[in-house]
Amino acid sequence: MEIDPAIHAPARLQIVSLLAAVEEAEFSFVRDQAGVSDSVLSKHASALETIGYVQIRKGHVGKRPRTWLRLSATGRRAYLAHVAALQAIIAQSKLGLILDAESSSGERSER
Amino acid sequence: MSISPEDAARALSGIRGVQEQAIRSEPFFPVWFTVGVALFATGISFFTEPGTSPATTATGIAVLAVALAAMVFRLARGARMRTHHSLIRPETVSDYVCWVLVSVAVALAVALPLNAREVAYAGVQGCPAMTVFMAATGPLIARWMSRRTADAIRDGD
Repeated sequence: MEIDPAIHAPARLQIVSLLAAVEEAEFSFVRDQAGVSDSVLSKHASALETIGYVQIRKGHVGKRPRTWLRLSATGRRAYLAHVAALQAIIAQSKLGLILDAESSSGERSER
Repeated sequence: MSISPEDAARALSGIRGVQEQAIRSEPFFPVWFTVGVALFATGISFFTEPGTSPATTATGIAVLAVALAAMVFRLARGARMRTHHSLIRPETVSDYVCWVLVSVAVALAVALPLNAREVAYAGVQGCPAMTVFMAATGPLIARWMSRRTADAIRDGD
């Protein structure tokens, strides 16, 4: 499992992880939630569309034009592989052991 | 490309954070849709009352079917965002089903006594009660479902 450089940059990771939680989201929703400007989102969305990770749909709500973004099947696979790679890095480190110990002690104290 | 475990942990935490915030920010379903479905049920019960002419019934049901299809299309293609199906937990679905069943029970609670007293259009009169109940409680249920889903993301379930 490898870190995907197309996803790993902070803004990209925010956009892709947000899209991973939805079937589809309006451009303005992604922009507001990711806390990026129109131009930054537009640039990243186009780049992700070029590599086949994101699908962009144009439409209208009433008379107003709208744009929706969604992860493609390829994009979703890449996202899941990226998350798995991050989890593997943590699991292989001492940090993984610390996190495991913390979650075990948390479970014990809840009981 | 390699990154440190600390950076990996930060990235994972960031992923959960952005997903949790996004899901929490919107109601799980738009209330206009459930109110629309309740009005659809009202219309169906009205046009299928005994004594209604077949032509009126057929026309009414056709118009209502078109309206329902338009609502479904608007929901599927025009929503600001729709939660990914992989995040929808069985408990959340059962909450929703329970709410729908309670809504139907409200309609029956109004319609059955009226029907026992042989009041005309008893079934039709139960449906507006269901519509009002869904309009009043729908926002709470929609927010509750979003909150439950967001909590599950935060807890890493």
